Amino acid sequence: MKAGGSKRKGTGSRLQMLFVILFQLLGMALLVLKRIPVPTGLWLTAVCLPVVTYGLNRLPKKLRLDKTLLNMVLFLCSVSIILLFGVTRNTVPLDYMQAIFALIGIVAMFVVFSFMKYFREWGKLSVLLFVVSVLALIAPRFTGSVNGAYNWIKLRIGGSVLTLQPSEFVKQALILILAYCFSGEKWSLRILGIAAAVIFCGILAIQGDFGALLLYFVVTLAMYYASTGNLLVTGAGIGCGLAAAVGAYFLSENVRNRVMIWLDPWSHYNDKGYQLVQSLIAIASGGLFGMGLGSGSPRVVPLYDTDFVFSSICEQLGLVFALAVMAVYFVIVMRGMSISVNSRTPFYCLAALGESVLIGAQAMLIIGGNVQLLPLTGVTLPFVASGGSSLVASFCGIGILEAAASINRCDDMADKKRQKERKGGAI
Amino acid sequence: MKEFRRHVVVIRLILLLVFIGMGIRLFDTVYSQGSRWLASKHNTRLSVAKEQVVMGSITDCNGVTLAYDDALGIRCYSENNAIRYATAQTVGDVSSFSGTGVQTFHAGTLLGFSGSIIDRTWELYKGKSKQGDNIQLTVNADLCADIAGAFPYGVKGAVTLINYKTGEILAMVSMPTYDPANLSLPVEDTAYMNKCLQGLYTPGSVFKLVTLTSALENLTGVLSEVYTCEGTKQFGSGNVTCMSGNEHHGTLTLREALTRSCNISFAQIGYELGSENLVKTAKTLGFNDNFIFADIKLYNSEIQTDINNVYDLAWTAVGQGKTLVTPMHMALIVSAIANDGVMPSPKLIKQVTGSTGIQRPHKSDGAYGTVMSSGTASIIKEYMRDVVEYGTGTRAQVNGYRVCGKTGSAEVSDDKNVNTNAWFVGFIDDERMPYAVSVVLEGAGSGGYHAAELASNALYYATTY
Repeated sequence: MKAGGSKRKGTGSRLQMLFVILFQLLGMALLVLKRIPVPTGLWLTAVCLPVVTYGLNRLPKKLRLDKTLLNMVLFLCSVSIILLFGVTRNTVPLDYMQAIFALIGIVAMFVVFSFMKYFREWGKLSVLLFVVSVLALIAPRFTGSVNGAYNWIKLRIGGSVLTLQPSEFVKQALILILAYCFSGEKWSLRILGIAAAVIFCGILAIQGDFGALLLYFVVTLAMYYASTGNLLVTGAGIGCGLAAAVGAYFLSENVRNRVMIWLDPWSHYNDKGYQLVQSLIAIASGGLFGMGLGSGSPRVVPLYDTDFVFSSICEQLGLVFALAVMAVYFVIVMRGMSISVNSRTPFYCLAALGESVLIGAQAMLIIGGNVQLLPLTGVTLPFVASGGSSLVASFCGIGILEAAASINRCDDMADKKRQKERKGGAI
Repeated sequence: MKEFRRHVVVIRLILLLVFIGMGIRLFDTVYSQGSRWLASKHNTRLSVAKEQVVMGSITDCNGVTLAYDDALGIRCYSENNAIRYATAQTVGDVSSFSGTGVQTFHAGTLLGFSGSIIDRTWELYKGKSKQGDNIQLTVNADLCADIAGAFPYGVKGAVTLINYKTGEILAMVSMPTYDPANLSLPVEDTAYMNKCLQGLYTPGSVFKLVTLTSALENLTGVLSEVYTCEGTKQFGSGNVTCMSGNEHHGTLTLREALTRSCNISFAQIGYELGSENLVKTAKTLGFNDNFIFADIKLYNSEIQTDINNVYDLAWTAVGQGKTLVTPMHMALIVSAIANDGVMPSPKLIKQVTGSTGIQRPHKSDGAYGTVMSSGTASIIKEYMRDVVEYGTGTRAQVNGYRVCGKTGSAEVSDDKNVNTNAWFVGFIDDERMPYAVSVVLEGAGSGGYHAAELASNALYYATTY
């Protein structure tokens, strides 16, 4: 980072903030105008969104947050909130839940941020994280299935049922564990790290959550390669992954179905291909500029707010906007990679890398699945898909990235100060 | 740490490429496949839009209206019965009975799904109901009506007439047909089907053009080869027979083999080529390709790729294997021969105009590709000229023009009492009248009779407009 750039960068993030707020105001104005009388939840969200965005951008400089990263994430959140308001109408009670989850997420981000910045006992933490993660992953077996799948924990609080998806949070834990294990030179630690990843993947395979499994695999592989540069082992890892994929194809009927639908959804329209066909139709119907927020029939696509949220974006706001959303993910990933490259310690370098790869891979997998470029995997579109677990966990991940960025900047500042003093001393 | 950084940079580069690749691929798929997805019969938005939007009109290349919405929003078609029936499957209907019609396949355009933001705001401001875009086709409605009138009475089949230089479709007539303005009327079997695009037929002898192409491109010295036909010859486990009955062709050159459509000679050529070469040429010419044309929905032609015995190979070379082809695809293949080896892509849409009269960009496909060398094309052209001049296709002659062609009589059943499908494919070898035609008549016997006659009529009508 050059010293002269700091001032210009400040104005850059202010411009981003203005654009995000403009988008929020326009979107919310549209929603408010379309729904009179306006429900309280919508009013509150319409006011809170720009206020929170502005507030986060005016946080004290001392924190040394990466504002660009933050603004991009806030943009995605706004897309999610506005889109879900426009699409769900009143079919889902509490359609402002996404906004509440986003607030919880922002709080969680700052908790993780502070923790990551000042905590240093990664070894002990990793052990703790591992134990908790394994328990969390197994827990759904005991709390009962949701929609026939065992990847949700059901908690009864009072009269209502709260569901949590542990695999979303374990992703973040895995990144921290691997960052610790791979940051040293010790082979024993590396093997332990890989063992942890294998155990997680094994549990996920038994639960049948192949989408999450694939993400864990990609993240582990990328972090391993970054720490060792060992092409032989990485290649062997890819080989194992491919073998496992082939095995899964022959062993699991679910996987076979997914591949079959991917290859030809149209001839399976009446049963399994329905979702994907409707998704493709929705994307095509949107055209370049979309049918307009709240127009069209987005609810024809099953899971329009979770697995197929990207096709909802395409239908409502158009292909051009959808590509812009992809570009925002791209910026987030590249920003994360920059943070990783600029890190002074292997731990933060790897943690930032893991986060970036995770967000990138997750977005690619589900977008590809929505448009028939890849087989559909049930992973969520980070920050956009409806659902609290994914959103809060993703914000925790951004907390890790922001912490790494903040530490980088603090180190840079310290360096500069030292240089100045040295120069001053020489004179 | 330095090591770490280098590896992170590598991963960053990979992600960069994946992201860019994915973005381009996404845009590309939606761009090329979007109209197909949109036009799906499962799209509930279309029926909603049909009630709210004034559907755009469809006109032919001279501006003759083929379909439009009247003041009450009822879909109307040409008043002229002959034109309405002749263009029924091409134009399609509002209930999508004809699955490949313009009103189905380009419903998105006609209903204004791809309309611009400016037009939409303007309509909103004016308080007008939303208006779809108007489509002008390359089809000539009068020509279609003439061709339909020239059909032998009661015979089912299809005539496809295209401009072999540009790929513009001038006429697609499929029989039997129906009345798009009155969908409740009873219709004959397969009336809703546009056989030019959807009819998958056994090619019979017209496939010999493909075998000949492969021979000219792969077998050296084939031009001086001499073949012997004794009416029947054993290939592998069975016999290939020639249609010549008790007579036989005797010794023939390659040129005579095509002119007289000798099965034995072409079976022999197929045998010498081997299945690999034959299938490779067929694939270059578009067989087994997944056709994704912007303007039309064309069904895919099929050829067996795993021919593992000589008997099947011999029959495939003659055109009687498991090969299936659409009349439109055959028209494209002869277009390549007429057009120095360059196969055009079929075009049906001349232009799209918005409700305010502004012309919309319409992306047409470029040429399908160079599918044979121009040398091969000119040799085949000469041979096809012989077919019409004094071979099996003399009835296809058009006064004053050099017509080149090939007949075909495709057996559709092992039962000898079932009449063969009659084929004729050909073109006018003239820069000013670059028309290629492909005719199939179901159960009309030998291709040299009714099919060649109809082709002659169709080409003649085309020259008069």
